[in-house]
Amino acid sequence: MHLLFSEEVDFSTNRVIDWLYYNDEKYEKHIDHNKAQKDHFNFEDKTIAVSFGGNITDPIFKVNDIKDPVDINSTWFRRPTINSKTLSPEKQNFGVYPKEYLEYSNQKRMRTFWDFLCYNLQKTKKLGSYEIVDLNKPIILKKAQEHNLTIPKTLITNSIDELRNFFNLCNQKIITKSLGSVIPEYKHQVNHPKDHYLSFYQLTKLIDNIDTAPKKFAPSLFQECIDKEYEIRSIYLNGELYSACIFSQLNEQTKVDMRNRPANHPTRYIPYQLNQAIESSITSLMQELTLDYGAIDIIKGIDGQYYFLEINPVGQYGDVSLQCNYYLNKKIAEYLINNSND
Amino acid sequence: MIDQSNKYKDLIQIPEDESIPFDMHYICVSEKKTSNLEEKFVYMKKYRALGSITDFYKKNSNIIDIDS
Amino acid sequence: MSTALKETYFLLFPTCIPVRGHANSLIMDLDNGAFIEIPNLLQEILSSDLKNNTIQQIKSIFKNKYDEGIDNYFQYLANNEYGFFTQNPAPFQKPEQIFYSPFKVISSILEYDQSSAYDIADVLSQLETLSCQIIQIRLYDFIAISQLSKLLDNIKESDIRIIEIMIPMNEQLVLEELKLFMINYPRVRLIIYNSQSKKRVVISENPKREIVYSEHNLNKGSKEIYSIKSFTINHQMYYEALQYNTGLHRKVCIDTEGNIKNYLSHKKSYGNTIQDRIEDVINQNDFQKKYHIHNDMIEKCKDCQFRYMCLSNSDVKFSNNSHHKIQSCNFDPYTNSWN
Repeated sequence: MHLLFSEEVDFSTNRVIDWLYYNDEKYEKHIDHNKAQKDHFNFEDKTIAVSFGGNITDPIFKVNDIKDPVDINSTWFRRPTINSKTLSPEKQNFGVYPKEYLEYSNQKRMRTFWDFLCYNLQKTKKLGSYEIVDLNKPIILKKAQEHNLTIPKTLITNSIDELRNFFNLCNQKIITKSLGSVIPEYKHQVNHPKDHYLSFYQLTKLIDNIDTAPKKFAPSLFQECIDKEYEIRSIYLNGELYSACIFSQLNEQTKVDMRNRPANHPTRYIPYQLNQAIESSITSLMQELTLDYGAIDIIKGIDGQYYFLEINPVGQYGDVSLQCNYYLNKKIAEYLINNSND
Repeated sequence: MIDQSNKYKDLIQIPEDESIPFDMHYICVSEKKTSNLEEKFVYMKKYRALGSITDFYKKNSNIIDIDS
Repeated sequence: MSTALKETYFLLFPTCIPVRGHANSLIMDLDNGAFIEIPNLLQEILSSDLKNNTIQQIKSIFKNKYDEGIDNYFQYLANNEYGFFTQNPAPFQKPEQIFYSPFKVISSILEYDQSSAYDIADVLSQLETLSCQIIQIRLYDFIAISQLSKLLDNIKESDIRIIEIMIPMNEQLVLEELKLFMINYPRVRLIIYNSQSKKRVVISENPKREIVYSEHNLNKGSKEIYSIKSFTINHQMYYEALQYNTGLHRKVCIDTEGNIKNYLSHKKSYGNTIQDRIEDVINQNDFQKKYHIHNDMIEKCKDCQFRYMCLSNSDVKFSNNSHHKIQSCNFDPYTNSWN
């Protein structure tokens, strides 16, 4: 059985399931247990035993259903959410020890247990990682540089004076983006215009006037604005890179962030061959980070330079795959099947 | 998506403060048309999830002229 | 001319595909689902090795006879985002021309009338198991909506995307009931034929769903319609069309008697659902033969500029050393006109 850690709705997971099903493979889907339906896989109704150490010569990792062992051949951490059930209300009324403390201690222990369980699953054939959903952006930038990738001039500061100096150093054209993950997209219902709602989200933002910018702020990320010829998205899958050039400089809005575009105006994707040096730098970076999957953003500047921007370890690959005919859903399914433990 | 944050400035007021990162002052807003998700996606056993319906990349047959 | 311009290349986006027809050509835009017509000469120019020849060199390949035309057309194509200029074309690749489908059956058409003795519910559940994505049910005799509902309840949680139901006009078809039926079964497209007047009743705007009333008749002899508005342009359709017959590839059809065919109008039957499992029948090599006979291999179609967007379920016969569609269309690629 192939165990897929995913979200309630993720169309890439559906497309990989299509291929597993086509190959007559068994699979189960695990999602956040607060949203799980009865046909989702969960560990709560299983018995689990992991034994090792001492004079145990044959360490055991077993997950049992009511009677049968659950045979996990491979694991795909597409969008892992691992959290624990909270205590049911009828079991919360005892003693004087505050129930929040009890809950906290329970959650801590269970978290350690889930981490350990996934650590063991990681030892089976797997793709993706349960622990890495969000990478530390500035650490990745530093590591990228260590692997000979060029990154834009970068500043992390909470000082307006430092920011002003950096702004002038970068020809008065810088960008800011979130230091960590972006804000969750929020939908706000409105009455006008009719049948519309407002969607709140975050893009990379161009700053070309520092005087109108906030003066007080928490530590934030700033980078020089690279005049780009085009953007490249590379999907890293087990040592292979599937790259696409994304033509978005065609109109003004997409110059800074390609997501800023009219809905009916498709972005053009072209299969792209990065040069050998960059490919091997990315590969060694991914190896150091022990990542076997990632969506990597790169800019080709009009100065001819390739600038590494970031890695999204659970990033979407669907558009690149469809537009460049890379068949990544099929490749992922086949990887899970061919690398199985049987 | 087209950023319309200028039009909706008053809806994304965030105070300037030492505890609020710089980028939070640049949240984007877009008007989007409400679509009836329930009619585009239904629960499918195979996926243990919603899957899309109502469109496919090709037709079955053009046996009755209904495109006009 | 400056050196920079001398070293400039023009590339089409690989999702903008020039297709040559005998008399006229076009560029299919897979991203926008649209095409523009172009003269054959431009198609020839665009099909030359643009990646390894600068615009200058392309001009000289065509003996510098069309320099101005090449400049104008390349500029026009760039302005309209069909292509772009670049100094460094080397990293740009073409997508691999491959097509794979994870669906054992992609499409299916069932015919059913009063005389039909096969178990349509069982057929639907077999198709569900085979991951069939689109189903058309042609009812030649009236069936009550309540009966249809019962049938569809069995496949409510399947991954079938579209169920197209064609039913003859009948006084029992009450609009309010039909609307409810459409709401309860969101995969359904309902076409009521033999109607006195042509009309559409909108059920929802996004996605666009309607009940279509058509004055046309439908029977076993009905023939497929070909027109520009029936064409489909997108990535999968294009790559499939390069290798497969897009109408027949992984299609299975069941006629009123339960015979299992590539398409209803084909003479050859490969089994009958009354005694055979659909999966066993479609796995026969013979059944799959027609999957592979695509438009580039078929006389007339291979000369037609619409060959990667047109879907036809016609049988294909082999005579005089070449393939021919039995039901030909009313477009003539030699005169570039519809008859």
